[in-house]
Amino acid sequence: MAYFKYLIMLLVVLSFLTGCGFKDIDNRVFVTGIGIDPSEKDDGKYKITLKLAIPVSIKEKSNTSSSYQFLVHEGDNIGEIMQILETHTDKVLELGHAKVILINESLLKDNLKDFMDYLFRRGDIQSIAYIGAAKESAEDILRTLPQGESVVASPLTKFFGNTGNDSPYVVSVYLYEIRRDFHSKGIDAILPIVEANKAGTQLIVNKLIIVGDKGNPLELTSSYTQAFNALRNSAAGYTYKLDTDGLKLILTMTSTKMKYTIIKDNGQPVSIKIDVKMSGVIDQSNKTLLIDNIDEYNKLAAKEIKKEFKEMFTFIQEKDLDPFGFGLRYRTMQLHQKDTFKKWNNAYRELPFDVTVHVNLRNTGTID
Amino acid sequence: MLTVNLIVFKIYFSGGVYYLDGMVNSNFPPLMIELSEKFPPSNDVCFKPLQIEDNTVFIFYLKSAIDGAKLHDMLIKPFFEMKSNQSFTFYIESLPNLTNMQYGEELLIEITKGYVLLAINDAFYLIDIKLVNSMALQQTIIEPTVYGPQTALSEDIEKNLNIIRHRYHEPTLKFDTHALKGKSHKSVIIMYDEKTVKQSVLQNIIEKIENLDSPLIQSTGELQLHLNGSKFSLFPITILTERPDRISYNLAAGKVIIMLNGSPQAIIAPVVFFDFMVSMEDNYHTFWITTFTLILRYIGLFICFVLPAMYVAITSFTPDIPRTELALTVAGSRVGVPYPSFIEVIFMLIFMEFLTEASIRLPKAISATATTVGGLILGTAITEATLASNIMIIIVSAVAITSFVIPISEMSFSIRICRYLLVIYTTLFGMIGLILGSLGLLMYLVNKRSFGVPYLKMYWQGDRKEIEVRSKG
Amino acid sequence: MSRYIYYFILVTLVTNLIASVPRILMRDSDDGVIQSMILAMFFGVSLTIIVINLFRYFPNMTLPEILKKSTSKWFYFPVLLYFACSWYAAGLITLTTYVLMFNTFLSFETSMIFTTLAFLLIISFGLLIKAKSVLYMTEVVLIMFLPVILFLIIKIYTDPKLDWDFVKVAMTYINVFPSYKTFSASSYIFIGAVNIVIFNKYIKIKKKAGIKQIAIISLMGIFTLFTTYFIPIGFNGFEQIENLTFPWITTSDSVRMKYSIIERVTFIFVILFTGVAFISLLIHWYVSLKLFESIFHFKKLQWKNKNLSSYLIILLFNLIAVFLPRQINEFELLKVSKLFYNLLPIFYGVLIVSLLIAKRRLKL
Repeated sequence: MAYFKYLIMLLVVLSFLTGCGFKDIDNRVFVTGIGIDPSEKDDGKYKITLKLAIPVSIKEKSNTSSSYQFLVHEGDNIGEIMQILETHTDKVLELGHAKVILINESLLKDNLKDFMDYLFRRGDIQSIAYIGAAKESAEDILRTLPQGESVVASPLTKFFGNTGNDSPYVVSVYLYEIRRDFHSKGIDAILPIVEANKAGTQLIVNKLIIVGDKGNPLELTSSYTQAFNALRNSAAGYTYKLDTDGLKLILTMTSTKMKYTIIKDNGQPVSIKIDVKMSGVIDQSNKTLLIDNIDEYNKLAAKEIKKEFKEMFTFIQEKDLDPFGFGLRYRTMQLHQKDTFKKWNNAYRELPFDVTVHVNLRNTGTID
Repeated sequence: MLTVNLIVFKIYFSGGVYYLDGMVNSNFPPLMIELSEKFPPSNDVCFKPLQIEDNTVFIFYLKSAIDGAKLHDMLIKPFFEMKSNQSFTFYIESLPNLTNMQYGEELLIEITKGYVLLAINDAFYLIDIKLVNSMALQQTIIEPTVYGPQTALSEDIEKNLNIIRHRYHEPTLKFDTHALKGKSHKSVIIMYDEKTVKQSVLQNIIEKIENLDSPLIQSTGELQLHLNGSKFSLFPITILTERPDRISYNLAAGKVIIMLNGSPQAIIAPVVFFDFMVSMEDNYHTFWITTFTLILRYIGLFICFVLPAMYVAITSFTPDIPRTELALTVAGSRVGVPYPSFIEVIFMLIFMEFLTEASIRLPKAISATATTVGGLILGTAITEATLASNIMIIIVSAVAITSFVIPISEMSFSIRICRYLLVIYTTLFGMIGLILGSLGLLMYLVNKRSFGVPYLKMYWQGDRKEIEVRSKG
Repeated sequence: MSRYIYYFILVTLVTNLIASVPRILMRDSDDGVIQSMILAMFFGVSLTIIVINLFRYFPNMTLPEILKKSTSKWFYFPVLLYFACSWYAAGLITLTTYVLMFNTFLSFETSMIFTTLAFLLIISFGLLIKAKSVLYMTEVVLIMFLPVILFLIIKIYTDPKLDWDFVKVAMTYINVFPSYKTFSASSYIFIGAVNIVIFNKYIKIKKKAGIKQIAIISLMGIFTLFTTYFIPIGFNGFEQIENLTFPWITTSDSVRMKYSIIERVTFIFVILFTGVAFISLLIHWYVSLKLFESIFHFKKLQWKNKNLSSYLIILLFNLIAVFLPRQINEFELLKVSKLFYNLLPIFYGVLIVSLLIAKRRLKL
């Protein structure tokens, strides 16, 4: 076939060209984590830490511990620093596997926008990279190597995304989510806080930080974090300690569903109505429980949990932050006009919350 | 009064022809004398008179081509029992083995095929008394199945026609004979079912056979190559088969079968791509099992073709594609390999080709040793010496095994060659080279025509107009 | 209405799901996109049906044959030339967009020329195949790729992180008046059926394109337009969407396949859509080649009994396609695409007018 001869001739000619972009995997090194800290020496500069995964040959069975390499550099802006960091190693930096990005808490106030611009503009960093706020120093947290960590998966990634850890205290935020929420009018971005213990051998994730357009970021306590996760992401496992009339119960909710609407009156938002349905089991009790009184326990639990939620909502509202997206919901409720969002902005601080909670305790565990 | 002429025979050997000298010399038909001169001196040319009282007939034949016992039973014994030449003529004319008399070149060829030339008075007759020693029916070696008939076609065309007739009892089954030009002088028989065959395909095939002009064709394998149409083709457009049940299925589906005398395989034309992935076993199992094995074969085909190129694309161009754990494992297994990935791939593939090619010709005594040596070298020693990565070994063995999942071996060979082209294209262009290379191969297959029938096309069962050949069989 | 026409429409729909059309739509996201999309749907579907039904009057004839038979040279020469250039430009825009996309997201160090060369080698081989093979190829590739694409799109729809609130916010902009460029960009995705100008010879159109066909095409169109515009908003937020250069690739990057070998859906997306884009490119350039051949047939160029004019035209195609990506950058590509889409109604107009003239001249 003439076509075949033609193709073969062309291939022969092409073999004189060098394949562009051909770089063997041994000449690449995978970056599995990026950490951004404020510079120690100068003000207004940054320090970037890169955690590189060194592939370990399977044959060398003696070396079972993981091997990582850390590159640290300081500079003016991220792009520049990354360029310099590329000269610190003999291989090409592959950012395609960077799954965890940690930003120091103190940098969240003004600089989040710049970071997101750089991280997103490059096509090679995954948009599903987990992003978190580091408590003390991002570099220290990246350097923490708990025991039993294998090269192929770092523990930080396993904290998020329900991969390894599925506790309700852990909120996973993807890079695209934070960008979406940060730039949108009506919703504010959140990040989980990652900290290490004093000895530097363990990683702890159980708090949340909310970043708004203006003002300081707000840190939520663990119990509020848990409540937020259960409400917004329907996370399972919300625990609540019920303590009334000498009855101490610990409840674990297996499912939580939140529905909310904005009540309008004359085009002005009047109140936010939130309806929560939870169902769960009783984990611990100091008295024997009667199965007939389940209804009573339900009502008690509902009352207490409602108080807790209302506290949380008001706590966040006072700082003019809106991580749930109430403003966004308001925008969907009418056709677009020029001053829709301004109305909301002015009204949000004062809006009362109308919370109703339904608790459905299914059983009392294996014992009464 | 029976008088037996006792003739003093002066038998002399002249170039291997026994001349019977004496008074019968003048009665030899001139045609036969001419023939005996045309045949080069050879030990097996026989030219004898049969004579009883006044009746003389002459026979001319090649001893090595005919069946001596049949000759005796059919011609010599009855001759000596007949009263006269006249009744013997009637007898000869009623023989079923009698064929049309030929002259000139064709006569010589017919005599080499085992026909006996008989001269009675002035009339000549050609009688077919051939003996073909390779007539035994063989077992199926190339396409064995667990169930179903186990005997294959034999090397004699008459026996094969007999087998087919007994399997396919349709009155519309037709045999057409064509003679090949050139030195082979063989006859090609084309079989088809007149009711279901597609006329344009049939015309195409007949035209191609008439236009063949190569000197010697010994078997259907060679015939298949010449029917291909162009010298540099990669994919076969006919299937060689030795199973009579496959032939009957194909006849019923409207295909044309070509058989050559002396070859135990028959050619099935036209074929489409999907025919290569179907084995006769599929007819003997239930629907779900058949579907499962068919899907398995297609997956095997895909793996055989794409896997080495995908390895090159992933390790050397975009290691971001697999998840992090897998990428690090692949990177770990490549630690210490001294050359780039595509050299590793091609080196291991060629080594595997050596192994496959050699194992076809291994004598039974060495086969166990060779496989051990091959396995050991391939598996352990190469990775120990870090000349190839572990994952490469897995890929190469997967590829080698899946290339035998394809039931018809010609397609398997073609895919093996295309695999190298894809690896080269991927090495040049990366991941996009992989996708475009596969699409390019697909385009080549779609563009191929097997005697006018599209080679690769989605044949829908419901669309009767478009489906001339069923994809099974 | 043969199934091959559906394939042509599908190929164009799928190819433009992630090419330049969404980008043009997103840039005017607060400028009345929704009304333009609805208008474009009516416009596109009705014109498709008109074109198909017009071709039913000329069974087994390609457009050059129809025009040559019924009009004089000074009419059909510029018309065919215009069509041939439009088809070539359409293919070239698809090619450049996909090469750019590939180079930004998959392999960053490769130069544009190389990736273009990879496409061109296979396409040049593809332009020499028989016409019916193009149809069969379209069928095979669509049947292989379409289920996987549908699976991915469903996966994106059902992702828990897709925030429908953003989609609803986008929908509140329904009261803004449409703009011309979004209208033309949205109607471009229905243009697949006009490939019938050459393939009419090999397709048998049995029945008239009636209500059922209108319904099917409209449904496909609605689904595609909805997916193309609204889903990226759900993932990327409404405000930032105008700044994305390839909104769909970034969207597919936001979906995570937790348990599969390939975790970033982007790669599978790009691979699958490049496959379908290849088919689209093949069809467009094939039509363009045949149109050029019908007007430029050099009888003097013979070599070994084969006419070389088609090889010459293919060589020309390749040369232009190799030089162009070097000169053009992304912004100019966007401008050129917008210009091309804006000229779309003229294209339809010329096609329908010439068919009507031919119909009257041939007294059918």
